[in-house]
Amino acid sequence: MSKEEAPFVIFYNVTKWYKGNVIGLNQFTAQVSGGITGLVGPNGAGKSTFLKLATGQIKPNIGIVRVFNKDPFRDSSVFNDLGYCPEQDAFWSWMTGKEFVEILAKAKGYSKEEAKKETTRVLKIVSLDDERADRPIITYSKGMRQRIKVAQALIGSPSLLLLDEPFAGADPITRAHLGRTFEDLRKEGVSIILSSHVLHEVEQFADQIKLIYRGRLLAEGPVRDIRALIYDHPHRIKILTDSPRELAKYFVSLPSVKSLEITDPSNLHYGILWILTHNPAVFYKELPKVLVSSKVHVEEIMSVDDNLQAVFEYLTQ
Amino acid sequence: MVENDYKSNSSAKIYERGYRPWKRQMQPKKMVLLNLIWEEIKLIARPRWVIIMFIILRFLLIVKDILTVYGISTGFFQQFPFSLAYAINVGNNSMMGVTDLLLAYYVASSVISRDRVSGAYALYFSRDISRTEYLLVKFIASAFYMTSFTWLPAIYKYVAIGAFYDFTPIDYLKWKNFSLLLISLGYGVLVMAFLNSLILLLSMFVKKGWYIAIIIIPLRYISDTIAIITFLLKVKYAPLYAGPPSYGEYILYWAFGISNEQLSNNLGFQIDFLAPISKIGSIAFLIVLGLSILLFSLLYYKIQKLEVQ
Repeated sequence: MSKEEAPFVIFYNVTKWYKGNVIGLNQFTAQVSGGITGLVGPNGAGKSTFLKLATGQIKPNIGIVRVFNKDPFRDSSVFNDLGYCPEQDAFWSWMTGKEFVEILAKAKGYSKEEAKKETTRVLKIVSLDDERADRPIITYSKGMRQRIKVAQALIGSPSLLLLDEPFAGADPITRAHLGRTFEDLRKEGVSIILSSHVLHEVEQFADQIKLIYRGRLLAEGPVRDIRALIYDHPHRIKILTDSPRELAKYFVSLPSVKSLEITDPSNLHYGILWILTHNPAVFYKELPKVLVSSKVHVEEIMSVDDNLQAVFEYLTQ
Repeated sequence: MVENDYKSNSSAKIYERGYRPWKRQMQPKKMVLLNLIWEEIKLIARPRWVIIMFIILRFLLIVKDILTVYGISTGFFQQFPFSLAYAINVGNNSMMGVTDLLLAYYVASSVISRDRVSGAYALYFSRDISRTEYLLVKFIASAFYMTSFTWLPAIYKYVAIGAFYDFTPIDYLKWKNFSLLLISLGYGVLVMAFLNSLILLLSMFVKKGWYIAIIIIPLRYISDTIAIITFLLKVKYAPLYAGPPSYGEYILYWAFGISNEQLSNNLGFQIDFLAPISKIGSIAFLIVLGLSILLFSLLYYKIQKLEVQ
């Protein structure tokens, strides 16, 4: 393997536990190369632990963590080429956004004048290069705080960005803006590892996804493969309709349907038709045709298993 | 934009994934740390009202100090080195004087505790700043304030007491006098090293600076009480039993070369039960120095092991 192709981040058999025998990561082995990698898992899965280990905030109890072939807990020089955006707010909140970024630019090694220029540059990237940058951070909305945190991570144009839940609590405009920013950075050759507990937040621009659950790496691969995992496991679909029995007749003959169940909530005029399918991809193709041909009024369709938690439960069975 | 298009039959864009080593030219590490120390000094000075309050307090203490110096010089304390040692130790810049404690509380709560509570640890430790360098920056920045609060009184008390003894400018610069000022400044550094290590170490465990004050202020009063009781009981090493808060004056007496006899004469009563001042003072000095090293070592160890939760 040539040097250029070597993975930036290597976790080998890493276990990290916290006080009270809380497991953060459990015999976790993974490596991350270039592009955008999404760390996806429910809350408490170990995503933040992964990023904290990779940024030397904490050290593993067992195992080896290497970033650019260096131990991030022992060798701070690794951070010259790494930007980190923590999940929690980490501000001196009475400071203005500009002051905050400037101080951190100085900590990165910029002189006073250069720090000012760099601050302007990174604030521009996150679209905060206006009068808002001169306001105290305490007055910022959640979205603006997220942007400032991302801005400080961009100081020095690092090759690798580690972003812990960068979309958490952000408004749709901020989410869209941050998403575009990450894509632009990827085009410039920046590698990004970002965590989220929502798959669709990261799948739009992630090249690779790593599914983490209860401190273990459950699955990894390109987005389409991970998405396929979701479609490969049995799905339950809930259809709220005024004629569930009538509608069931149309579904019962479909090969993609494994079972049907009807429930009648007493407080509703509608009934619920539950459909279990082993082949969601085929089922979802057939669904519109069946609904049109049945001419039954449908109030709501919901795929209750089309979420990560269901996939995790399926994969860990 | 670095982009490959070897998949000509695909609309997918494949971007550069190779690692390009970071080659940006930055300031030397020394400059980075100096910048950070300066930023930290400025950060401690915020909010501004706290520093204004300390300046006012300092000014009031100058007035009080001048009155003390006047009392010492016109009263029964007749010998110059003794009056200076006594004045240096009195009240606000003893080993754990009130001002020191207030300042220590404020500095501690705004240095490490602040980073801990705000989560800013994560921002420091995700830059090319080792834990040792982080400690160095914090220690020097708080030492800047603490030392200034011990040095400033030492200087003006030297000048004021000299004035009461009709010092000429030449007298101030004479080595036998000037060396006493240097000793006073050195004593200030010792006080700073002890208090700074203690306070910074405590600040790693508490969320609010007030908790540190609650822990430390009673120590001062317990120490005073023990000092009085052991003195009344005529214990040979009475001052040593009282602990570091009471060591300051004996370290100064020892460093200034004041004998038991001089001490008795100046205090106006016999202290013949006491072990030689040179012995008490030097032991007190070694204890404070040892404790400072121990506390700093503990602080260093804690910082090295620090994990950002």
